Amino acid sequence: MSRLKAELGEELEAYFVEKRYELIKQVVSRVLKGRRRLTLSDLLDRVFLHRGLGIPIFLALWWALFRFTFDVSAPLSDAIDMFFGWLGDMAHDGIANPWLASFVADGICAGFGSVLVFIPPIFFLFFGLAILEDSGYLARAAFVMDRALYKLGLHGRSFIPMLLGFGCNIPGVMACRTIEREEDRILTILVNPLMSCSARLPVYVLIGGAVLGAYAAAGVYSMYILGIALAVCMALLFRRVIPYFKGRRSVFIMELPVYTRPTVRGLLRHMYERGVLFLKKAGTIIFSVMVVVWFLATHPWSATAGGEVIENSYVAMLGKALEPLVRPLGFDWRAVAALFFGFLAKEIVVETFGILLGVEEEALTSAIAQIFTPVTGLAFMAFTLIYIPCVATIGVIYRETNSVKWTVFAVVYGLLLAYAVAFVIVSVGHALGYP
Amino acid sequence: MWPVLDLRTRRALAVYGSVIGLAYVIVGLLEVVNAFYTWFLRPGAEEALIALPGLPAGDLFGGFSSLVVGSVLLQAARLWRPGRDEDVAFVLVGSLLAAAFGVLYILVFTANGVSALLAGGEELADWLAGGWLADALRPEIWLFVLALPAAITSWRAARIIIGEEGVEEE
Amino acid sequence: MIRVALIGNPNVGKSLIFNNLTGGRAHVGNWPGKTVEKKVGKCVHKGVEMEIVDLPGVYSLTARSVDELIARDFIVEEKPDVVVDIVDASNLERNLYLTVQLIELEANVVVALNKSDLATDMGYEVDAGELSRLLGVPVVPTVATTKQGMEELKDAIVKAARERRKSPLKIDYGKRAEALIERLEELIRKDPMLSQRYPTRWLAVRLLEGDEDVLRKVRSSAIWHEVAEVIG
Repeated sequence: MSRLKAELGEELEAYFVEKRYELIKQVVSRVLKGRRRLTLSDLLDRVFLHRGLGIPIFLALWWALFRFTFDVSAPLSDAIDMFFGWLGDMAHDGIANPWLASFVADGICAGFGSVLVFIPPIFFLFFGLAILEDSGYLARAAFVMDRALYKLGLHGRSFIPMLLGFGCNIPGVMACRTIEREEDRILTILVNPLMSCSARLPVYVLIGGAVLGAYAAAGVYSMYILGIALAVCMALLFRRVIPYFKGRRSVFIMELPVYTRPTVRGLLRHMYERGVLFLKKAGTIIFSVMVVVWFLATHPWSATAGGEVIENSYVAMLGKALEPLVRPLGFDWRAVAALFFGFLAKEIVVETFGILLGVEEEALTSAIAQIFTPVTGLAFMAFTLIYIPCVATIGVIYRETNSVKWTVFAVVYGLLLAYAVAFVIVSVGHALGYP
Repeated sequence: MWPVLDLRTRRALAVYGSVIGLAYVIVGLLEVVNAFYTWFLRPGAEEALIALPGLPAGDLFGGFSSLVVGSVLLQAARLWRPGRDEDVAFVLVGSLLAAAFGVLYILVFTANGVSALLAGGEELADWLAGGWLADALRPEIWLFVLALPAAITSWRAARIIIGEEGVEEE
Repeated sequence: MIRVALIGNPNVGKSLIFNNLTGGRAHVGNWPGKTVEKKVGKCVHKGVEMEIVDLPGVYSLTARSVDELIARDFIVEEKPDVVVDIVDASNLERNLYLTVQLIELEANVVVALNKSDLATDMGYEVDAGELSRLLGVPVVPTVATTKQGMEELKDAIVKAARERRKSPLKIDYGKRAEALIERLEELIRKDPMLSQRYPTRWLAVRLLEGDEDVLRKVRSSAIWHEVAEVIG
């Protein structure tokens, strides 16, 4: 190996770049006359790009974004939930035919409701992101995070897709288009689903609230952190182990736009563009899946007495068939059935539990506490975080990677990793003496 | 490059900025301590360790954020001595961050109120009884109000530096 | 007819200058086999006919992105008579990186120093004459939005096409690297397939940098084994 390469290693390319800039700086210093007046962007960047404060500022703003997304949109979600609940009740009371009543109330209304209840957080998130993006700040955030991301095996441009993934993985995966090198792009796409999308949150809240008691909040936060940590590990792992991903990462040159005041119209447009992707998925897949779940849970009609005796339904048969696979994890047939449908769309996991346990909203928490222990509950939350992204995301992954191989890989590694992590949680929990 | 801003303005900003910054740091520390207590040391405790009205009992990241805002504003101390014009940005951005969180917590307060109204019954009663006050007294809201003069002053100073008003250098 | 290529960073006003030169009429197609747009236009200046090709906006000429490869391949393979590099005067350092790479590529460069008005607004000015002297290529100040400098630019293009000066600018990569570059150049000169097609110093530097596209080109050559030994 040439001594130059041996000495410089990874830094070889940067060495040449630097030498060119050395010359350029000399030229510029002799050619540029007069002093440059400070601009507003210079002033703001003094702080936003500050070596020590830059990243903490971003983390604080990110937290603000999350609070905004979930807490401020909550009343809207509540309202939607109540509305569809009311509608369902009306259907039950108003429609004579029990099958039709069930179909309209538990199938259609519940279906619509469980989907539309996600619209507020998703749109709020994308609105908030639009503020950060249109003002020009997000580019600075990407810039300060770039060095950290680079060390973690990811590309600076992965930053925004990862942020989007916290709302919905679909726009997140699609945003990976801005990454130039195919290897970097595919790696980011593979890792994106580990960003806990908003559809998984209700599962954490339900299970966490039911079995983790006082630690519920910590449990929910830890899922997000776990997702990020796993994304980092997987990125590093894939880079090291899979030959395709080996090789130099492109250096991140980014244009820092001038800071501008966002326009309301621009914000709304951005929010709409990204949110509508979720709506399309919602409108088609989730809704159809809900109807399918309703069908499988209430049929054979006579055996289940119109949905009353769940144990006799097709869902139960499915769950019981899959149960052996998850017994080491401490999950029962209801859990695995919920996971199965969660594969189709994470938004319906909570709803599915409701149906399978045969209880209404209020009693759901205590019912959950019956079938999970704190350890198995935590394992279930982790499983939900990690396993296969929902069908719509899989579709988008296929479209963006243009490869069956990578799409299958994404699904398989997700399943394996989820199982492994859940197993570790259960094993460690049991070893520590928890049930 | 010769600085544009006069020492008197710098010092005013230095003092005001640092004082508010210190306030944010203190609030942040209190919130973090509370959160550690509630989350890790004594989960499910009824009373927070530090029970000041409006101070959240279990908001770790909110406390961290206030620490960040405070740290940025404390940098205003640099303005006490003559130096770079850009340092005004610490007060400017600090107030911006203060505004972001101030507005956020006002929105959260409003959202909680609407949720309580929608839910009715017990939830509403709880909120009317005392929940609303805790939300409304959140320190970051009032610190933001206090920071407004600093925001305005630093913005004016920034405009002078950029050259959009006031002194024109040759 | 002179074949001219327009190149520059994104957002420097390249499209505007293209329109100023060609009168807005262009034939739009795609680069062969790619989804990137290719614009070609014509211009007649003092009796001289020019065909102007608009290359994609790029920050540098590595093998990393499709845009950069298109631009680089065009310059290396098609060998246009003149390459007009549009440089943003208000952002000199970053824009000159591309200029320096073009000079290493031994293209016949004419620099259009655009957005001079913006630089003045920001309180400074660029000494075009000194820049031209240091870089070894003609530098024409332009303000594309008001069409200032367009005539001078066209004059410069015609003159450059006629004279075909090569810039004497050379970047010193440090003693060790330079020694390796010299050895590589010796090897390259032994293979006429390479030495006649590509500038030797440029090829040597890129081999040392590990440019994937260049490595691929040299791999099929007879000198590959010796080259591989040198670069490690």
